[in-house]
Amino acid sequence: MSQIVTMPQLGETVTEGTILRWLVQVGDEVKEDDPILEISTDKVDTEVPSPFTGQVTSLLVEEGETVEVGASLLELDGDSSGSSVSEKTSDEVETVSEPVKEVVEVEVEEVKSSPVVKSTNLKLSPVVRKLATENNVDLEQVTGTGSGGRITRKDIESFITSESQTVQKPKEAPSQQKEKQVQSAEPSSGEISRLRRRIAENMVMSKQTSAHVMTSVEVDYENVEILRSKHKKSFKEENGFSLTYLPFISLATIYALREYPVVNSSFDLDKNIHSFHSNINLGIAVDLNQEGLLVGTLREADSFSLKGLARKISDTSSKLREGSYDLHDVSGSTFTISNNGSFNSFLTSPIINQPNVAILSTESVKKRPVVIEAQDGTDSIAIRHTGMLSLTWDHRAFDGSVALLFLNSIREKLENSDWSQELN
Amino acid sequence: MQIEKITRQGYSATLSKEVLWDIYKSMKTQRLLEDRLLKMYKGGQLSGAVYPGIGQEACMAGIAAGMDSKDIFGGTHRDLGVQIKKGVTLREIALNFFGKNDGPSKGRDGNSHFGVVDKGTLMVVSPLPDSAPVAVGWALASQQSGSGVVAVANCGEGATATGTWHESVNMAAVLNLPIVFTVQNNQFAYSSPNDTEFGTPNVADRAAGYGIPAKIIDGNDIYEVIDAIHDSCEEARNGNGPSLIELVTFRHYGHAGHDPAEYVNDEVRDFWMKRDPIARFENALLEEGLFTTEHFVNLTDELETEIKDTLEWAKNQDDPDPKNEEADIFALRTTPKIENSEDNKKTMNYIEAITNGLDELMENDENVFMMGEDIGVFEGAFKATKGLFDKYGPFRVIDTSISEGGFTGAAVGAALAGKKPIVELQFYDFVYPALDQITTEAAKYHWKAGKAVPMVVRGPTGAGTRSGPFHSISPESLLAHHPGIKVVAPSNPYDAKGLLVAAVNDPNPVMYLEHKKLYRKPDIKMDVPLGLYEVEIGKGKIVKEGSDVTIVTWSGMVSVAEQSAQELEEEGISVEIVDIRTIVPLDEEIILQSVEKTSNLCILQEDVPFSSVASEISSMVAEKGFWNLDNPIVKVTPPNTHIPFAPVLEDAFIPSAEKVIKAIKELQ
Repeated sequence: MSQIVTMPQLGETVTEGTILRWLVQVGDEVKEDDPILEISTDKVDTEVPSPFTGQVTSLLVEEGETVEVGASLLELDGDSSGSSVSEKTSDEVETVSEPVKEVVEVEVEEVKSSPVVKSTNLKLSPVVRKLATENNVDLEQVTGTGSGGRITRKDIESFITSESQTVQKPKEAPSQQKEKQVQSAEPSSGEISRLRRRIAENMVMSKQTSAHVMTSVEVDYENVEILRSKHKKSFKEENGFSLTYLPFISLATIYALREYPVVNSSFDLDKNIHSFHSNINLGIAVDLNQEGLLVGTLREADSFSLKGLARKISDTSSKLREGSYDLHDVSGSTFTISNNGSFNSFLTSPIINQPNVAILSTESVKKRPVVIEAQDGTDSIAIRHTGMLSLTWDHRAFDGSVALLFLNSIREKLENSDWSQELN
Repeated sequence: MQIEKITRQGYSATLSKEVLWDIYKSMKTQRLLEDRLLKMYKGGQLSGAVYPGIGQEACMAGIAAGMDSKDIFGGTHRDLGVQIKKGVTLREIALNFFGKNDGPSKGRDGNSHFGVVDKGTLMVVSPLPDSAPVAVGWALASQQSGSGVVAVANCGEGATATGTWHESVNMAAVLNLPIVFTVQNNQFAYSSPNDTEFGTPNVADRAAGYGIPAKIIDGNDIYEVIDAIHDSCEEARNGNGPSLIELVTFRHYGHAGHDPAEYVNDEVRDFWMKRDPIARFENALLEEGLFTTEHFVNLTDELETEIKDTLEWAKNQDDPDPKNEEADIFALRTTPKIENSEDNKKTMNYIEAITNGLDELMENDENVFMMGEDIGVFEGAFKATKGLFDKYGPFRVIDTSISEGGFTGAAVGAALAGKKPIVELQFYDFVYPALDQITTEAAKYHWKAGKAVPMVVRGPTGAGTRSGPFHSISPESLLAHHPGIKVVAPSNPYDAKGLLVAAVNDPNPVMYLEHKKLYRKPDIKMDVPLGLYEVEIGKGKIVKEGSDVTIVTWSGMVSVAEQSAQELEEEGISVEIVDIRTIVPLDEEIILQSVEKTSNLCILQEDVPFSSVASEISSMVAEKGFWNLDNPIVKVTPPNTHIPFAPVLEDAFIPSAEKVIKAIKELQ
């Protein structure tokens, strides 16, 4: 029986993917779940496991080709093991875990006989597609009650209402080792990579959407620095990574966001909707070793302690740099921090990560001479750890007073909070 | 060549030298203009067509000169001479020939296909003699209001073979209207000679069949034409009814610029050239010593320059802007919406609400009148005009002959003359013979001639009465396809009266579709306000709210939708029903909003499915509401066939609640 493997939809906004590399050739015997090719989409590069067992009869796309989601990729001659358990022989029985990111072309009669049908295998109506996109719904997790298991508008609406968006992690986290581009002195040109294109489009889109304004304050980090140097060594030993300024700034930011919820909002002028988010999903911009930029999301970041934040930031950064993340890790942020200080910046004016209304840039912390006024009014020069904090914000959503009150709230917390309990 | 002599004796003998010069000048203008246009056409400088009336100048100038200046003329493309004598300027003519924006038809029709109603010439259209019923209607309005205006309905002998002409003359005769029918018999209908067109020796012989007087006159004798037209117009003006004048004449050229008229033999041509109307008129004027040859030569020089200059000027005027392609399709209403407190109510069924609406409309405005078959003494086949003949009399509740095309066209003319006619079609199945007048005249008047046509065509539609294929149609799709007419289809007594009042007060032709099964349906009886009020044309209504599926429907199918909704509700499917009430213009918003809410659409109509209103709504939602759909759009309609008689067949034909429920259950 001939089976077709199609381009999976890796995330609801993904519409196409590029075939990076074939891992099988015509004539190869493939087992279900064997990796058969590597693909690259807007956000994720991944291996595609075979949904079927059988012999490869033809490869339908070339390496490097970009095809739409649902396009036929490969033809297999063999069992339709991905969709009909009853047809399997005993020695083919394997794990029951659900394949998460595969898309299986299921023929209609098989759909009818199958008690559980993966929703994404089926046709989606326009309204379901629209609602899924608008509400960032992973359709994999919606149970279809329509004919043949189709997801109906009601299904997706009740899913959104119940907010049961529990993320299933991919069974295997395929990592994609990227080849470093060789720097060449010769002029050269080439196609823009998918990630670069995505970044470029997002940046331009944001600039065209929001009314960007940058505002900054100077922060005295001495309070933080004292604590940090005290726990530096033990922290590293205990956790395996360094205690940076970023978790402190993140925590102060989370507190400030609670005070100024408008900064944790989304503003849609076209639809005439200003939505205030109930959760604080903190986005952290992560540089992918100079090959791109992704924003990792710390969902419900306001539930974390300082240590928890530090660990989460570290974990997320590693995942993103290794490419072992899924869509859930890189979507849904409500406010973003760009840690430019790690590259020794003085002042940065970052571009807002849509649909946020502001982005905070942390700048380098350095020892600087500072005039200190003693209680008796006498001035003296002291050496203190200071640095700038800058905020690019959307003037459509709020005004300069809010931006500065928010920034100063962060500054005040960094300068005066007693964090010692957090680290003991 | 010896030119046949003419002399003036009757009314023409009373005309002054100046009036005669004016008539001569208009004849000469027509000839030189058409000669010039013909040359330009043949030289490739003019697109479209030219229909020269050279040789027939005496007919045209004579008809116009015999009429009073306030009289109205309805003619053909070969009547430029009448238009010139009625005061249409060379500039207006030239602009129309070049399709310019400031021309009488704004570039929407070309060459001689135009009229200037304010100067007394009706819009010229290609199907002939389609302006005849319109002229009849104007005469009817004149008779009603006593304005003393006489209409002249003119055509060539070829067009007298149509039913339209017959219906016009017959109606005018029966109603004793102030109208004169003129026929310029120029020997050929395009290329067909008289003996292939009619069986009587003369066109005028037919008058006996209508019981009206007729004359046959020499159409190339300007004096004879003026006298005959004048006398007939005065007879008509004095209440002595219509007459028919056959003007025997000859077309020097072919039907149009491209036609060399090789079908005319030399003998015939020689006979007529001796009777050239301009040469005869010049000779007569010379003989009387009124003018000299020098006068004629000078005038020719002047006119040739003026014509050349005017055409050159027109060529350089602004073309119409394609951006305005859809402009003027409807006249804009300027009068306020009629409202009342709606406190004073009476329980009525559907037909009582219509009768009540007709009564109050006629009582409120003396310009409102009705025409139709058996609507007077008999009070209509369905008794929609009950009591109205007794109350308003035969001049406002007019029994017509069986002439759907004739009286629908007459409604156009009456509307142009300031009346608000309501036409009753005994069954809407009989709209077919009226469609030519509805689409050629009513639908295009405002667009092409800038004149609003406020008229209503009402009548029973729909199946379910065991009346077979010719008394049962739902004509909404047929009508809605034509730009320029509005179509409404009320489903209950309140909407029936409100939409009728709105339709009569709309400045456009409105097709008002009644459903005969609703006329006396007891369960839709409701309180209807007394006094005039309107339901806005173009606004639908949510008759039942729901969340799972939208049924869009209208007219007789609304109650089927309600029954379906009730049964589906019991099974947990919540149905929203949109009664669009108006087909054209369609309330797209209410449909799209409902689909946004339910994501499922079922369109229910009694009309057959192919190329229908349901198809249009389906297409509209697919285009504009696609992203809100959760299932394919379904249409519940009859099969694509004619309405059968046998009860078992008819019952199966009409969409039932059962079919709606099945279709909706198959969604999801």
